Order: sequence, then structure tokens, then C-alpha cells
Amino acid sequence: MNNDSPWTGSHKSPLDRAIDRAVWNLMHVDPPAGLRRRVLARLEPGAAERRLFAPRFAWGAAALVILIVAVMFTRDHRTEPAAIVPQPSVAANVPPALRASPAAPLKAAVERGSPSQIPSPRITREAIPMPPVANVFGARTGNVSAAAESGVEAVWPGAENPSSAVAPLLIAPLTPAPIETPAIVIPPLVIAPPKGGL
Amino acid sequence: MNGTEPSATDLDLVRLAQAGNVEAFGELVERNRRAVFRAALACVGSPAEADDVAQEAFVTAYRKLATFRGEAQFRTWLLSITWRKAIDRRKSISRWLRLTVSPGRDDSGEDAFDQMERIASTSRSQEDTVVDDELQQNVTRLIGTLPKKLRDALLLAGTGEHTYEQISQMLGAPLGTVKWRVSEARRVLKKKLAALGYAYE
Repeated sequence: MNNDSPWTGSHKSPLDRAIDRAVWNLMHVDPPAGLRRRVLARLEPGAAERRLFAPRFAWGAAALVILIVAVMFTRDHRTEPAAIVPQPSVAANVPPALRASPAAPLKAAVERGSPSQIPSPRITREAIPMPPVANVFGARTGNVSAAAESGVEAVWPGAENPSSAVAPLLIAPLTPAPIETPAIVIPPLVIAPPKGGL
Repeated sequence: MNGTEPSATDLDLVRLAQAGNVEAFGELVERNRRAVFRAALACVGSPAEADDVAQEAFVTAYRKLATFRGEAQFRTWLLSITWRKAIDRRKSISRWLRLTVSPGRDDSGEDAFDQMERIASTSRSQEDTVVDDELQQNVTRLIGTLPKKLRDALLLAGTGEHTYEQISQMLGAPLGTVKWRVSEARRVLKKKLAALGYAYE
């Protein structure tokens, strides 16, 4: 406190004294103990933060660059023209494991009771070559099968007796005949003069 | 003590702190803690809030220490930072002085009210007996009703830690304006007290 202190004036009236006293009570409170210690404790982490700021920024920037490069690389990879697939179908995109036995993994997963383990078919743009399709009907025979109520395979009787085989159907060649159309006779148009003359 | 002997001036300590001597800044904290705390208290009204503001002010001052050129007193510069922090806090908490604040206690265990009683008792007259507790309560309540500009000036002037020059720097108002605000605050208070039936003179 020096001589410029605003509280050195003398106030004589009781109200002035009351005001002085009230302000004094309000303002003459000392700071809690340990203010210096608390301030210095806050300064030390601050200094440490400043020291770590540059490396932290560098690490952050490096991580950001890596992330950007990774995203760009992934996008480029995805936008490459996919091989032309003649018959793009869902079946062709099913992983081989599912193609071999479509229901087996699902059934196994359900039996394990963990839906999260059910393999989900991935949709990919990779071309999966179709295996060559062989003769799915097997070797040709003369037998004709038909369903029977008894479950016993019925056999066409003619197949066992070659002599009763149906003779080949002969189709006589057709000879095209000219189309004759009667001549159309058109009578000449006769215009009669009107009655009474022109 | 790392060159922070008691005879060192504030400016010496500032130079040491600018060179990285944290202990020197700790000595500056010790020297100015009461002025900073009471300035914050005059603004926010709560000792707990004032303690937070004081800490923030010191930390901010330390971080801005390189910008201190020594043209003004360190305490004046520090108090300006403190007042800005306190104003921000007052805005954020949107409440002002808790006039029911309990008087704090210093290290001697003597609270502020006891100090006031002890000092005033030396010149206590018969007239002082008129100032009873009811009057004190009314004055305290009426201080809270003052306009902020008058209230701030009155309370800062009543801290016993700040000169008019420092208050002028804190409030960003001319010296004469600050003195007028203090005087006007007292006049308004006395007028209101008179309206309550207390003797004006």
C-alpha cells in the first residue's frame, strides 16, 4: 500500500464507516494456502506440453499423410477396370468354399449358435472362371424313364425289342406349285351424258 | 534459491523467469498472490472462483512473460491480465458477487472480520455502536445492487492492495473516472441506506 491507496480517506459518518466495514469484510480475504505451489504445478505440465508439441505435431502430420496415401491407394485399386466377366452373377461371386457346399458353413455356424460367425459372402470384382461344363445327362441310352407310383423305374417295352422300334418317319419332299390367279377383267367406265344436255 | 533472493526487485525476478527460472516466477507469485486474488475476488465474488482465476492469471502471465518489456510495473501488467480473466469468468458463470460469502482465514487463523474488528477497535467511538449487524447486512446487500462499473471500482478500492493507478489500468478507465466511480458508489449506497431509514450524515 502506498499513499495512492484509495482507502486512506477518512469517512466520518456512520454510513461511511458501515460501507468501509462491509467492503473490508468482502475483500479482505486471503487466497487459499498453496497458491504458489498450484501455479507452479500448472506451469510444469505446460512446459512439458510445449516441448512435446512439435514432435506430437510431426507424428500427427505423418499419420495423416499415411492415412491419405492409404486411402488414395485403396481408391486407385478399386477403380481399376475389372476383368470382363461374361456372365457376372451372384453365384460366380460366391467364394469357392461356399460354392462347394453352400449350406454347409451356414449350417455349421448356426449349429455353433453364433450368428456373427456365419460367413458372409463377399462381393468382389475379381473374375472367377467357370469350370467347363461336362455332359450332365450322362451317356445316351435307349431307355426312357418315367415316374411310377410304385417307385420302380418303368422301362419302355420297345427299348428291349429292337424289332419293335418305331420306323423312321419319312417325309415326302414338297414340290411348290405355281399359284394361278384368275384374270381380273375391268369393264371400261362409261359416263352417260346428263339429261337435258350440258 | 537460484538467484531469487528477497532483495531482488520484481523486474529482476521477471528477467530470471524469462530466462527459464521457474523459481523466480514462483517468487513473483508469492509477492503478488494477494493482490491478484483480491482483484479476482472483487470481480467474481467467490473465493473459490477467485482462486481459479488467480491461477489462470499467473499461468497466462508466465506464458506471456516474453512479451513483458518492463515499461510498466509487473504488478500492473499482471493485474490487467487478472482482470481480463476475471471478467471472462464472470461472464461465463453469469453470476456475480456472492454477498453471503463467508470471510476467509489467513495463515494466522484470524478471519477478515476479526482483522477489521481488531483494527477498528483502536479508534472505536461511541458513534460506532450505531453500526450494527443489520446495517452491515443492508450495506452488503446494497453493494450487490450497484451498477457493475461502480461496484467494481468500489470493491477494488476496498481491497487494500491496489492503488488508483492500478485500478485505472485494470478497468481501462482514466484515473479521475475511477475516483469518481468510487465516490459515486458511496453516494448511491448512502442514499439507498437513507431511504431505508438510516441517518445520511
